[in-house]
Amino acid sequence: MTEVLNAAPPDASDIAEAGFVLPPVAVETQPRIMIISHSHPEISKGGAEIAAYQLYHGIAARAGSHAWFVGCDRRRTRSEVPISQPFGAGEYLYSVGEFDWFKFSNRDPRFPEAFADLLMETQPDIVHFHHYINLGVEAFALVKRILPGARVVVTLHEYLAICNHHGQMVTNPNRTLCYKANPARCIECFQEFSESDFFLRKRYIEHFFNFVDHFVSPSQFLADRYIAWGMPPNRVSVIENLIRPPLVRENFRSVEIKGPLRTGFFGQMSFLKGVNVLFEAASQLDKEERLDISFEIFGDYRNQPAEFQKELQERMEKIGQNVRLNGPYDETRVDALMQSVDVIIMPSVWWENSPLVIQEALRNGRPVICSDIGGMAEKVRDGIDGFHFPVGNAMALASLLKRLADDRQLLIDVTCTARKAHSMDAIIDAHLALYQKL
Amino acid sequence: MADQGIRRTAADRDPQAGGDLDELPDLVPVAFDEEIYLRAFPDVAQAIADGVCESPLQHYMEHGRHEDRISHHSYLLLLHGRQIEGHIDFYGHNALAGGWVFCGWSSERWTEAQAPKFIAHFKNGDLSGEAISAFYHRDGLLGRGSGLVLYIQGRHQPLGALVSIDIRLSGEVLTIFVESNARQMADQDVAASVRPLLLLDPDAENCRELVLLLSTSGYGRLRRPLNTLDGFVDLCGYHLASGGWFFCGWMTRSWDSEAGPDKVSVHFVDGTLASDETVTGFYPRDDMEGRGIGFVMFVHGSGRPLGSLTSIELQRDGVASFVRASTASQRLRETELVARLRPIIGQITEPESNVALLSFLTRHPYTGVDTLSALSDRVFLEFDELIACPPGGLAVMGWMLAKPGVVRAIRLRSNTMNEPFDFESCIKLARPDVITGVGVQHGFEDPQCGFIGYVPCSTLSNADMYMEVETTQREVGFRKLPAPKLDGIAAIKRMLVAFDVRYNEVPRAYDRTVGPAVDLLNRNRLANRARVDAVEFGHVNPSPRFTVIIPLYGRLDFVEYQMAFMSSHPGAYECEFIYVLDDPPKRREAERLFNSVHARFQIPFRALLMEQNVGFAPANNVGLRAANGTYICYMNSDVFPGPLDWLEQLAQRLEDNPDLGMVGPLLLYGDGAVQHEGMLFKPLPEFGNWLFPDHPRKGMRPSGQTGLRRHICITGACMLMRRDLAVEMKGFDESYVIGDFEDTDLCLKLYEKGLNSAVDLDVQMYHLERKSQASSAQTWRMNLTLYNAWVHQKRWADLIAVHPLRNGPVIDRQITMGPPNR
Repeated sequence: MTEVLNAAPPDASDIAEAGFVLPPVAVETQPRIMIISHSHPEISKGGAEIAAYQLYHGIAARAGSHAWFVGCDRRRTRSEVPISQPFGAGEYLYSVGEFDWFKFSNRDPRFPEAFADLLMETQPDIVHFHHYINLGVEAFALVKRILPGARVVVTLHEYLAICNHHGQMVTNPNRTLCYKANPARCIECFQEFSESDFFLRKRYIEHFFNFVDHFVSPSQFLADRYIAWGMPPNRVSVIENLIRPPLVRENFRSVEIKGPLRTGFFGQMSFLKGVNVLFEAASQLDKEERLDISFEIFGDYRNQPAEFQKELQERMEKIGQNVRLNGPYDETRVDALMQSVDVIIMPSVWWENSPLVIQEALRNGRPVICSDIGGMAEKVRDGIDGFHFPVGNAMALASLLKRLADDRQLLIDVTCTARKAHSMDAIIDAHLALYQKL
Repeated sequence: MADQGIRRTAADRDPQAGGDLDELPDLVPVAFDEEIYLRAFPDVAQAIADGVCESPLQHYMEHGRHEDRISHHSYLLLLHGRQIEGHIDFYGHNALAGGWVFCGWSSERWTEAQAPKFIAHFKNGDLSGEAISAFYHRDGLLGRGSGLVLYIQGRHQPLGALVSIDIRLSGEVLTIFVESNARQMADQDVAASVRPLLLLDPDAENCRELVLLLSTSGYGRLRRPLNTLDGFVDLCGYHLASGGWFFCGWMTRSWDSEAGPDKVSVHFVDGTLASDETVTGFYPRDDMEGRGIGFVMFVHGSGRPLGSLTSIELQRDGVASFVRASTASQRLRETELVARLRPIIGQITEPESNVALLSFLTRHPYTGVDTLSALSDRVFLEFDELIACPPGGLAVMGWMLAKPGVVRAIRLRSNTMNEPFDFESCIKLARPDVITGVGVQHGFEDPQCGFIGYVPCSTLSNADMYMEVETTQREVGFRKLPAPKLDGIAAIKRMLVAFDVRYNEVPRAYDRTVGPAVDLLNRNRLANRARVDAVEFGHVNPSPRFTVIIPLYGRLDFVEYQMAFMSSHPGAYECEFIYVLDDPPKRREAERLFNSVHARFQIPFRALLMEQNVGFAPANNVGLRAANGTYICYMNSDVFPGPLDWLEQLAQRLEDNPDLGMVGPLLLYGDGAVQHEGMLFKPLPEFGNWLFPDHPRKGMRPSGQTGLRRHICITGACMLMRRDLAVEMKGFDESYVIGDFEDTDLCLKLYEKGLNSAVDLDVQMYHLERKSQASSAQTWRMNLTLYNAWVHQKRWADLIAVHPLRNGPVIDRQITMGPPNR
């Protein structure tokens, strides 16, 4: 049976239907589920750890289920004990030891024993890893060694196993798009390694992936990349990431029909997020005196490398009146902020996977303008959920914005055709169904 | 003897002999000679003294005649044989020849086959002894006979006038009577007179020998080979300045420069001094009474005390003769030695040895000051490095400038060392810096003035060493050598980084210089066994079927991969893995890694941590000593399994094929191309035509062939064999330095024992062999590989030449061609 979702637009009901056999009857025994993440939302706010934690929380909330969450902490505050419980019962924290980023191997000699003890104590039926960073791919084999009957599930975030460049599949250092990994080409990005090193890296990761019963990918695009890399297609399913639930819904403000076209950028002001493209498009429109298009930038640049910060600062001094820098934003305010603009721009110059921002935009009924590649292009259907523009092409972005500003009907139409965000329950159900099947 | 004379016996009365001499009444016999009578019958002198009679004649007339004592003439007649025509024109004693020389003519000739013996009768005595006779052509004889030169060994005595010469041949005696006009000559005159006659026909039998006898350099050749020589040493002593021993004594014969001994060894109680260069000069010794000739011999050597002298051995054509020492032999200190020998050397007649010996005797010793610059013919000599190769050699690196023909000999010396330094056999290096710096202004242009040389030494001292340069003018200059400071790998590297040889230069350079030096340096380096610490992770199976020995150097992270990949195989947990860390600076890092790896993968293993870096062969041997498996597998750290039961599969091959000593897998690169599927040897002309291992089909896709395939050798990257066999072979040979050729060496040793090596094409594994760097900074690694190739070549070239698999594998009939690229 095919578990890979077809190209039909995902919908809450669709997930339940497409290929999963699920008689909606209560199961005799509730599965015991351990969700493992490379971090913890109390420690960092990345999408992966939030998704993992939300999943745990959602499952735990279902009556009769047993769930645990294991996160990691890179800060060395509790290093004398490898695994501890600072956040209460049901949640564990591993204090990270020595980790090899090249092949995702955990060198910490305390980890195997500590993790084994934890598994023995909790006896999960399903161990679901979101990320193997900080934990090491050996952990999959470890689970199988300690609990031969358990099932191992791994959610893939980024193209880490494929690409040594932060799993982003862009070259180093030019950051051009990369379509396929190949040891002969990888050494051009990383001159300190040899082809043999990349050969061994892949073999090492694949060796431990063989212990994984099923993989989950947030996007079809990412799944396809892994399948091209060598993952058996019948071992991958596409299930969307969970995001934070919205706060109490305020009054919903829909897109403005007239007035200036307000665009919003949400996220880290980094090169890969395409912030340069945005600035260039804005400056072009400023030159053409199209002040009816405004740019609201919500995000932080202080985490960026020093050189890039310098570049950004220089640019920001030259911005026109159509750009407003709003600084970083609090996650809890994202809905209000998104509703204060008409359209979200995601000009990322890398593939992306399943950006949080897109889900949030959809949830707020805002169309998304994004680059025409990767996970973005999958999640945002051109002309249905939003609009595409050629990746990195600031002029094309500017023209698109002009077109939309001149004909507001285009935007209105799109807000009707855009799909709704998946509900949390739907996603959780999809996961549970998957576990059931294994 | 009581009667020297002859008494007539009854048998002598021969009626046909011409009357009974006794019947000459009262007549004084013709040619009665009182002196002869007295000499023949010593009691006559006593009788006269007692007053029995007043004179010998009276005695004869009154007593002797009646006692049948023969008178002189008949005495002589009986003594002599058949008279032949002939005469001796002149004669004399020659001291150098050690005997008497007679020159005349004879009507009859004899040959060596008749074994002639000669007696010369003088008025006052007889002379007999070792003799040589030669004939020469004399015009004046008009066919009546031939010229004759006769030599009889004997000392110079006043014997009076020559009377006759007896020639005793087998069967008869011939006699030549000598008239009173025969001239007796003095020493040099007789030689000078005879020599030209002998040279008239130098190819006539014995003429040349006689010439030699009489020449200034010959004595007593006497048709006997040198090895029957005998002699004694009267005095000896060590002369520090010239760096050698002087011996003075006598021998029964001398030699000239072509016929001298091949080899001279001086035996002492505590050791033997073998010489490379000796000088011997001969001088006449009257006190030897013709039995021998005096000699002075100089032998280069260290002054190492060797106890008393026992003998000097002279060897020629493999046979030895000895000049002996005795309790009478004196051992003199240097000053007295010089004083005693100086006048003796002055008597040596042959000019070359005279000059040479005198120059040795009068040399000045080394006082720690360089004197090279004081030579009248300039010689420039500088040293960059001196490397001690204990226990038996020194490697010298430097440069030298000298015009051709100026330098006669160079010796490497210290208080206790004295070894010849052969500049010509050194490796020559280009030193343009020397030419521009020093050479040009003194007229030297050839930049090939640098050298690396090896000096084998009988002893090695720590004392100050210097080079002694002797010019052809017999001048000597000294140049101090730097103190040796490097040893072990640093020393080896220093030598190997300095030169670059190709083609035919290679065997020369290695046979003479690099080979012996590196061999000693390496042996020395490994002499003290490095300490090994053993750490066990988990519980290693005490009686495993397999032991895998993996040496580690440089990269350690491969351990993670190896252990990870093998952790899926249940058999891995029963296996004895031994990691030998041959990289002491990485010890802490390795310990951490091992701990982490064991915690993660749970495979038990042993880690052997070397205290010093020892190299591939010793490291593996350390692992072998610790191993307990029935089978051992030598494996490189960058080899990774294909099928997880690779050990079992390979072992099965050994069990099924009793002719196999060793088996290994097909090895691939990461991209799937062949890294190794058996080896061949190829001679490389660029490197002395030595045999180097070659991996056919390296870099190609696997051919698809399956099954077992025998090869002359397989790679040490992964080889499985029975442990008892590995132990019998003593692991890998530690003569190879750092790592190279040990694997083929082992395969060939097995072949000598009758066992083959094979590749199992069904077992494919990965070998991520690092590409070798070809940068110039790695010249020394190239030269090190050449050293290992040299060792290997000397040992195995002949065997490889006749090995049935030297051109490739024999295809096993059972092999089938499967589909390509499985």
